[in-house]
Amino acid sequence: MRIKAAFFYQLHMYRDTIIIYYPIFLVLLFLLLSLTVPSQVASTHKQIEGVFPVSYPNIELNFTGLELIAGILICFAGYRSLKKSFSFLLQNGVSRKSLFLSQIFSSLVVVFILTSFSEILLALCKAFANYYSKPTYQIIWSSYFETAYENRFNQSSIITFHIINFSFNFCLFLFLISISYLVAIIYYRIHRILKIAITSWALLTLILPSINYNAYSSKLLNPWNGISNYITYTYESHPVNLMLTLILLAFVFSMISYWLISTTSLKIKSIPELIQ
Amino acid sequence: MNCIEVKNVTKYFGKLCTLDNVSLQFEENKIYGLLGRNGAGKSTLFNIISNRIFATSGKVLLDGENIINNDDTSGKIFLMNDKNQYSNTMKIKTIFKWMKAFYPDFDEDYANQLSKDFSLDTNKYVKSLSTGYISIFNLILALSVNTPYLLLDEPVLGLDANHRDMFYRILLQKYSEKPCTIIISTHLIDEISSLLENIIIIDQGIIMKIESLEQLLSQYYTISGNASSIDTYLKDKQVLGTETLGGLKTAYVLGPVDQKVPYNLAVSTLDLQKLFIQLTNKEEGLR
Amino acid sequence: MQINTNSEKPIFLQIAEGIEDAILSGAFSEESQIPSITEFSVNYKINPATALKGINILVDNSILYKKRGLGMFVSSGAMDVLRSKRREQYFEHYIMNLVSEAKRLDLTEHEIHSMIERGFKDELYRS
Repeated sequence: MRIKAAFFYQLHMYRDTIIIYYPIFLVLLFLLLSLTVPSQVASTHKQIEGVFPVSYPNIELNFTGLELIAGILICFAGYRSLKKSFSFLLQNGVSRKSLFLSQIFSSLVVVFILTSFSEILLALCKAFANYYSKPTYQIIWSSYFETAYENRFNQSSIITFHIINFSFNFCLFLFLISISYLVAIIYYRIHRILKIAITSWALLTLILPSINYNAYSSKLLNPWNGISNYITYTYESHPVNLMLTLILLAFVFSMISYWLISTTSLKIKSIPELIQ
Repeated sequence: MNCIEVKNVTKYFGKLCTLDNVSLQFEENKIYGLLGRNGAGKSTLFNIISNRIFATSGKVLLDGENIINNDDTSGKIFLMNDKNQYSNTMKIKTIFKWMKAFYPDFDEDYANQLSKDFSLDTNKYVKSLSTGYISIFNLILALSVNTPYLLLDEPVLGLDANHRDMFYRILLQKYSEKPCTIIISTHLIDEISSLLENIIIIDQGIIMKIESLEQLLSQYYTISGNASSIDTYLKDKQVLGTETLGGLKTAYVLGPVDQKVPYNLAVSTLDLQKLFIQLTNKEEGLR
Repeated sequence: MQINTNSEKPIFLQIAEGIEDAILSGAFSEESQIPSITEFSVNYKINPATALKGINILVDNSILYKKRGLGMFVSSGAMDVLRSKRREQYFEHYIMNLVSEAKRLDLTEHEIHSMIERGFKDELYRS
């Protein structure tokens, strides 16, 4: 009974987060797009007028992997779901085990829904791209999966493609939600100073380099080297490998999350150590 | 065997020991008072019993079952304090609806009635409430939730006199009609002493007293008169503390009320608050 | 009926005596129902067990009796029982206190007699 109530509550909290932030992210995405289009066009042709030029020869616009904005949203929602539910559920007599199980179930549902949204969005954008493409003016809209494994699945029917793409994104988003929840728990438990230290390190070594890839090449400071090597390797292998790896990692992170949350105390403002 | 058993619970926060080998039993359908000074360990004990934090050693059993990772036992306890554990984006009436999902015996009509009585607008968001009203909101939940065990941590903190009076009456009404185990921790001992059946006094993490109120008060008395007579009288007695005002001295004595008292000395009983102060005043040395 | 939580007398005794006073003054008439435990508890802000204890004293002394499903009622003849009980206690409670206070104030027996006479005369004027 309590798991059911906790499940619906966490779903409700996810819904609140997504309803607010998904549109924001989509708007940001749209703004981002309208900025990149002129630069893409500019890189292929020197003169441009307006956002979507219609009569210049041989323009090719590429939009890839943009449905992953849902992935960023998932990280965000996964991270926040701890804060939103932990104290409420403990207050209302839900054991940590039930809390964790309801978290798993609600996350699965949310990942499924967001992956579906992304897939629908992708299909719409592809249709849009096809509609507006002309012989001299190509708009190509591809998903992250297509770009990564482009040699493999060009021949499949649309439905098969979407099913495979959906599965791939599902595994990816599952991985993302499990890692962001784990990070949320770790952050909840550690001391504030440590939190600042880790966030600063992460900013310097993970986030900045991923934006400006060329700026950091040292292997020590740039974990992306190792990650990109791995990703390149996986792109040459069957996508199922990566999908299974992602699922396995999601499972491992979930287990670690369960272990951590079973031993996490609720943070209470008047704990003596804070007074001292 | 319906009770909460606290067995040898010790709690360290780093090097600080807030609970030292505490063993207690809370039986069903009684009102307990958990009395202690600031930092004595009352809230820590409550947080451990309600599974918010973990004991460093020892265990807590509810109706014979360990409370760790146990939905059944967790659903039988409700802790009320002055903290806001609720999402900032929820209205109070929404939270009432959610309570029903988690506590099947939650009485929503009663909660709405109490909200009216306390002038709490259920359309408000929890984050917009003042501290006093957060307490009131938590109180309304505690009174409506109908669990067998209710833990009230400083329930009247921040409540004005009228609300305090209302709360005591409403609590007694509810307890009379639907008995449960209520454990109240408070500093306002005077106001609450007449509600209590059993007393637990905790000082610096150690349990000093576990007794019924009647039993506890019958063990002490005060005696006052002129200082020298008092001093003579006290020679073979166990004294808790004394107060002097000019030549008039008052002493708090351990022992059954002495019937054979010299005619110039006045005997009376101690009230709970005075007794508590004398018992826990050790460090300040007012002897 | 007033309950003084700081008084010498335990609360349950105060409840018992308060009910006795109410019976003697006619506020609770014989064979009528007295307020419930809940009402006593809420009204005076005391634990129901305390109220019950006070009431049980009167039940044991046959001043009150319980009608199942309805509540507590005043027994018939309770007034007489209470009056004779109070008469017996009158000497201990009032007379002995009067005498020891008189000793403290150095009043003679004759002075006490005059005061008692004066007291009855005054009472006549006031009522």
